[in-house]
Formats: sequence, C-alpha cells, structure tokens
Amino acid sequence: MVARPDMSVDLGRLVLKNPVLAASGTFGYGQELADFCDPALLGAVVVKGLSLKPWPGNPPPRIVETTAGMLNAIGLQNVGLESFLKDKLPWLVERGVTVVVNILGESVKEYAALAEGLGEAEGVAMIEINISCPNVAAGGLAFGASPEDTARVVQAVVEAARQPIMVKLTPMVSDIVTVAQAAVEAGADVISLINTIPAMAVDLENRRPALKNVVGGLSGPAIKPVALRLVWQVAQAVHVPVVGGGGIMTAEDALEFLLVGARAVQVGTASFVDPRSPLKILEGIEAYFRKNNIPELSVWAGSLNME
Amino acid sequence: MAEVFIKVCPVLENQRLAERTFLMRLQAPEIAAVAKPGQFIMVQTGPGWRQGGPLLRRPFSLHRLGPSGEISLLYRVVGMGTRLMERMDPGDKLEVVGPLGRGFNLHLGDTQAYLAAGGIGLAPMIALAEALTGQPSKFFYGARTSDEVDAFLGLLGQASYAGEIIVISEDGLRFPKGMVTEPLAAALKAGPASIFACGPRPMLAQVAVLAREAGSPAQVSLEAHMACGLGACLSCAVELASSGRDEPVYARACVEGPVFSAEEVRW
Repeated sequence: MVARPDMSVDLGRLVLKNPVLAASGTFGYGQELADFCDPALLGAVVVKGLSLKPWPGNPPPRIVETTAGMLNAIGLQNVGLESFLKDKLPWLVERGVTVVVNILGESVKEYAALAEGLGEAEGVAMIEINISCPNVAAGGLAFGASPEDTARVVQAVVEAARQPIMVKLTPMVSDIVTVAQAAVEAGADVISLINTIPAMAVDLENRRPALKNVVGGLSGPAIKPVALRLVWQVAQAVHVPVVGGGGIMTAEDALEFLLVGARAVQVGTASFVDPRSPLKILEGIEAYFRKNNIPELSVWAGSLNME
Repeated sequence: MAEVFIKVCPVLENQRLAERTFLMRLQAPEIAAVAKPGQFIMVQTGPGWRQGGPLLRRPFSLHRLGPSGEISLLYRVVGMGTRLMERMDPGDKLEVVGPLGRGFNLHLGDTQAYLAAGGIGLAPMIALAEALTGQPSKFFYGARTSDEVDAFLGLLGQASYAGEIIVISEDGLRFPKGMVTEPLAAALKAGPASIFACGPRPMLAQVAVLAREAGSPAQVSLEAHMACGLGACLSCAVELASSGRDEPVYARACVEGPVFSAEEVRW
C-alpha cells in the first residue's frame, strides 16, 4: 500500500496541491461554506463568476430540482470587480486559498478589462474565462458558441492578463473539439468543461415555467455521462491540461473524470447537497490511490484502458 | 459566524395533525441549544438521489425548540421530499444542517406582540410564541379548514401560550369565516403593536400594508427555493424595497432572512 500518494498536479504554469477544485458559482467566495469545507485544503477555489460592475441577477424563483439534478437561473449575480478585490479576495489570501477567478462580460473589451484589473491583484492564481453561462441575455454563452468568437475573447484576455488562463467551455456546440482547439491556439493554458446544459422545467399545478427566467442551466448527476464524454473527447484533442466537471458527487465520479483524461476536477452541485463534498471527494481519491497502490495522480490521470 | 451543525438526527415522533399536515420531532441537542425562533434547518428528506429520492436538502423552519434537546418541524406534504418524510417512523434518521438564517428580533420594548400565521405559516410561530412568554400578545391564525384550527389549538395548548387567541377559517364551518388579515386589521385599529407574520406571500404583503398604515413594525418570515441554505448558491433571492426600477437588489433568504422587516421587502 502507498503511504501517501502524491496528489499534486500541474495545470500548465500553475501547480496545485491536489486535483479537486470547487466550481464557480457553487462555493460563493469561499467563506460561505468554510465552516464545513476549509477552502485552503482544496486544489483551488473558483470563485463566483465576476463581472466588471456588480450584476443583480435574475428574479426568483431561480432554482428548481429536476430528476437527479437541478436547474438554476441565478443570472450571475455578483459583487463586481472593485468589491471583490476589496471585500472578498483579502480573506481568501489570508486563508492561504489558491484562488481562481471566473470572469464574464458582455463584450471582449469587458473580459480584457477584468483580466487587467485582476492582473494587478496579489493572490489570484489563475483566471477562468466563462464563455459558457446559459443564464444571461447578452454575452456568456454567445462567445463560446463558435471557435472564432472563443478565440477572440481568449486572445484578448491572454494579452491583458498576468496569470495563466483557463477557458470553461459550454456543451452547447456541435463540435466542442474545434472550440477547445481554438481556445488553445489563442493562448489558453487550461481547458475546463462542462458548464451547465440549458434546460427547462414546468410547474404543472400552476401551468407555468418553474423558473421565472423560463430556461436555466441543468447540473448535478443527471449531466455526468454527457460531461464525461465531452471531457474524454477534448482531452484527446488538445495538448494542454483539461479540468473536468459535471455531476461529480463522489470520489468514484471524480476518478472516472481523471481516468478519461482530466488532470483535475471541479465539484459543483455536490457542494449544495453537502458542503463537505469537495473534501470528502479529495479524501476518497486519496484513499482509493492508497488502497490500489497508485503512487501519484499522474499515473492514474488519462490511463483509461481502451482495449 | 454562529454555530452551524451537520447532524444525523433520530426521529422521535411523526404525527399526522390534519390533512397533509404533520408534526415531526427530532433529537438534535446541539441545534436545539443554540437555535432561535424564526431560524430554519436544511433536511435531507430521504435516502438521496441514488435511491430515487431528492438531490437537494429542503428548508424547514424550526417549529419548536427543546425541551430536552429536541427540535420539531411542522410540515405540509407537497412534493417528493415531504412525501418521504410523511412515511418516516420513530427511530428513522434524517441528516440536517442548522440552525440557519436570521430569526425574529424579540426586543419589543413594552409594545404588545401580534402574531399572525396563515396556513402552514404557523410553523415558526409556536417557537416564537413560547419565546414571548410574559409579553402581552394576541395570536391570529387563519386556516383553510376547521380541522386545521383544532390541530393548531392543540399545538398552542402544548406550548402553554397564555395570550389571546383569534382564529378564522376559510371553510367557516366551526370558526368565523375569512382571512387572517381581517381580525389583524381590526385589532390594529385600537393602536400599534409589534407584528410577526408568516404565511402565503399575498397575506404577508397585506400585513406589510396594514403595518405601515398602523405605524407598527412588522417582521415577516419568507419562504424561498433554496439549494444550499448557507449563502453560496444565491437561489433564495428576495427583492428588496431599496431596488431601483432597472437595478433590482436581492438579499438571500437563507442568510439575511428568512425573517425580514416588512418594509425591507419589495412586495
């Protein structure tokens, strides 16, 4: 049995102590769930999607539970760059958290301005470009829908930023591989996928859409097989590290994503079900490696047997 | 940050009180020791999604706190989560997170307390009534049926509530017919009071109007869809009265609420 497997992982220019990240939008700014899950113990925390100015978000109801999943239309409510740097980031830095900031905007210029603003801050380890959120009228998903638009945003952010860049892809394209390749060619250091899948639920009793926004993003166990397939496809097609996510609830789920080629994983909806989930998943992966004599993560990652 | 626990709690009792309405007592000493009236817990209502149960926990306000380390929940069966709870027996276990949220502010000075509950909005009001013992008070309760009124009177009897009780029902069979805001409005004509209310949103909106007209402070407990209950998901947005026309401002029912001052809320 391996006494202590090496769980560290390099994501391009950034080395993480372990491969479990809290996914953007599901872990707040790190403080909210800290009583149950110390964010400093995770590979990284991807904080709530950040825009240049504060965004109010969508009117309620904003979530509804569906079969083995949940549908949300939060609408990217966030405090904006200035307040993030002043009120949220210092706590994370003080705590020793590896911080990844997920950014979003309505124009290429806004993405670049955010990257520039974050570049001056101490304690932001990486920037994740969100070009895949389905819940806003402008921006977001629109940029991730084509390889050309993806490349435009990525290139602008890479030029403006000091930190390594991770690009989060949407599953809502006919060929995700070409979008991933475009992001890499434009300078992305890491690819992450998937974001939620646009979906709908109906309140039968009131004959209304269950969400005020009508359409929301589906997450949770229901989307895991879709995410697994897409991560597998992208991991084979690009030479940069891939971070996989979508319905990871347990260590076994995470091990599957790592097996198909993800170098790290993002845990999302599971944190709502149980705020201890990211740590439980990390501990579960470690226990599995110990039990199966896997000395380090890199031995496992991408070792899917195709014969 | 206040103390919050994740605990597996044994069910002590799960009693049917009226149509689709149940009272569940849970052994939860850590939570009972620190919880305040108006706070809530998130409950894993079943075996989890792998066994076909709900994925997310469900929020329930604390109906009663203690004695002897117990908490109780008053719930109406409306969906998959509560259908699973309905079937639970003493000895079964539920995992809960709590206590959560901002409860009622009990510092009233020398004003009279008016408690107004509509339907299952009664849930947090018994713990409140118990905490206000010694304060002059009136308890207004509006039910759909007279059977529900009977169940309510039983609950209030157990809580040794000593104030005045005014009940009204939509069926008007054995109790006066009408809505709970009617006797509340009549009482407020005699002078201001500190109002506490929980019930359907249209009722609470009406309470907010009555409170403003009477120059009375009102605290309302709001219901909202929640995923985490801990302030991370931003699901349980409540629009605030300070919102501009184009720029809504939202608070989280799970952290800034579920009890809000009526004038804070955009109705």
